Amino acid sequence: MLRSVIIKTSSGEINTEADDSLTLEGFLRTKRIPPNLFQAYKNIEQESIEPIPLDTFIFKIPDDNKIILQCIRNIDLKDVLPQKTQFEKVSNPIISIPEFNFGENGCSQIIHELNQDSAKELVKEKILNFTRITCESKTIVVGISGGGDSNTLAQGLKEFSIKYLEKKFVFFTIVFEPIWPKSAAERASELCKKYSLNHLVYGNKEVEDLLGMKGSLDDFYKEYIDKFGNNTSHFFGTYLISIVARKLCKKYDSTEYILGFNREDILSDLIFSLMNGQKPLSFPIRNFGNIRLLMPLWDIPKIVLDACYPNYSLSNYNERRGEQSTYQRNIIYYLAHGIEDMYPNLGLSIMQGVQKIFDNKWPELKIENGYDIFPSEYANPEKIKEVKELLKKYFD
Amino acid sequence: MENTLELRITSTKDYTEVIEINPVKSNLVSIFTSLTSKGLNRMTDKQIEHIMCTSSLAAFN
Repeated sequence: MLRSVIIKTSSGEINTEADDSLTLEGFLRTKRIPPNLFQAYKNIEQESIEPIPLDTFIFKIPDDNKIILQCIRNIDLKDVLPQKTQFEKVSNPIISIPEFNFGENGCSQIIHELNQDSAKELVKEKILNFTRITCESKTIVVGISGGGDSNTLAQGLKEFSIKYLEKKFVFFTIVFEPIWPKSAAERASELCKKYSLNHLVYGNKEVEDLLGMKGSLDDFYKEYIDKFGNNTSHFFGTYLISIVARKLCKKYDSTEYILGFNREDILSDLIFSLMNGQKPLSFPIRNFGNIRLLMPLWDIPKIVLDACYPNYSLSNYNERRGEQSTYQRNIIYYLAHGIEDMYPNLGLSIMQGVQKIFDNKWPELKIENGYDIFPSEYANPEKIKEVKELLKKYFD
Repeated sequence: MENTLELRITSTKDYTEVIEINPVKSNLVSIFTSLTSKGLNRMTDKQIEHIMCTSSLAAFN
């Protein structure tokens, strides 16, 4: 049932109707309004006005009571939230991206619909521009997982290599159960084949040979998990990709590798650093000694990347059921997506602000002598020792 | 009847509600506690994130 709700602000009253199955908080959220900007009241007559918490269900408020939501800041919501929407429609849309514009004439929004083709085109252009400006090495190593994000790299970099014939790309995918199933590598291979790209698939044996490991990768993983907990497999995965990529750089006489970090990946890392009072690490280029990690997808929202290959993305997520992760990682990713959702491009703006602050003053990562690890200045020396002891068992 | 009309994403089989009437005043202190004090001062219990993964949190999601 619909109930009348009055939203009161200093710039006027807005009469709205709310579904009474919602709480008042839920109702405000449907309008993109942060509940902490409002106090709710109910009353029969002006004299008996009574404040009520926003988690009150609307159906629980007696029918003869008026419901008032009073804005507790002197702000004009018309300047903040869209008063006009322009829809940019395409055939077979997969996603819609809101863009807010504001100024003297109030706030308006454009809803950009993207289908698979337009998403691919958008991402391809972004990759082309980034690599054109950034890539220095003649050969560049590219890690792809077979999931949505990194697969967009294949198409974009193919386009780049057609325009810049002197540049060569070496794509690689790691197969390592239970982190990366064979099926994901098959999807990556299929894609690289489609674009005639040089693609290497590294299984356990190939990884062990490439890295010159003294023990098996399985044993390394098992010992790692025993030591650091079975919810840290993502961190093992990131480390494995990084050391394989850096080794391939050496093998192919390259100084650059590309991974598919997207907007919310970088943002979550950044929020974590900032809230801990730690200097964030550089993006979209990060130096590991003389090898550079390039992140061409750094400002592209994950949802846009997934729209490029929605079926691949879906298969990828279906294969990852029951994965364990640390609660911290779960929260920080949620926060990154939440910030971006609260006001479109808020996260991106924070990222760009931090880039400005640090400019050429990003913290440097130094290699730990004899090991392929680059501890940050915040690493605990005792923990470094512990990690080194583990690595010593498996690497020369 | 309680809450039956709410569509709640937190309604997993593990979801529970605890209601405390007139809680002690000291409970309110936590309103001012930062997330880092609640555990976001690290990514892993063993704090390997600054050592093995001095890159973004994960290369895959």
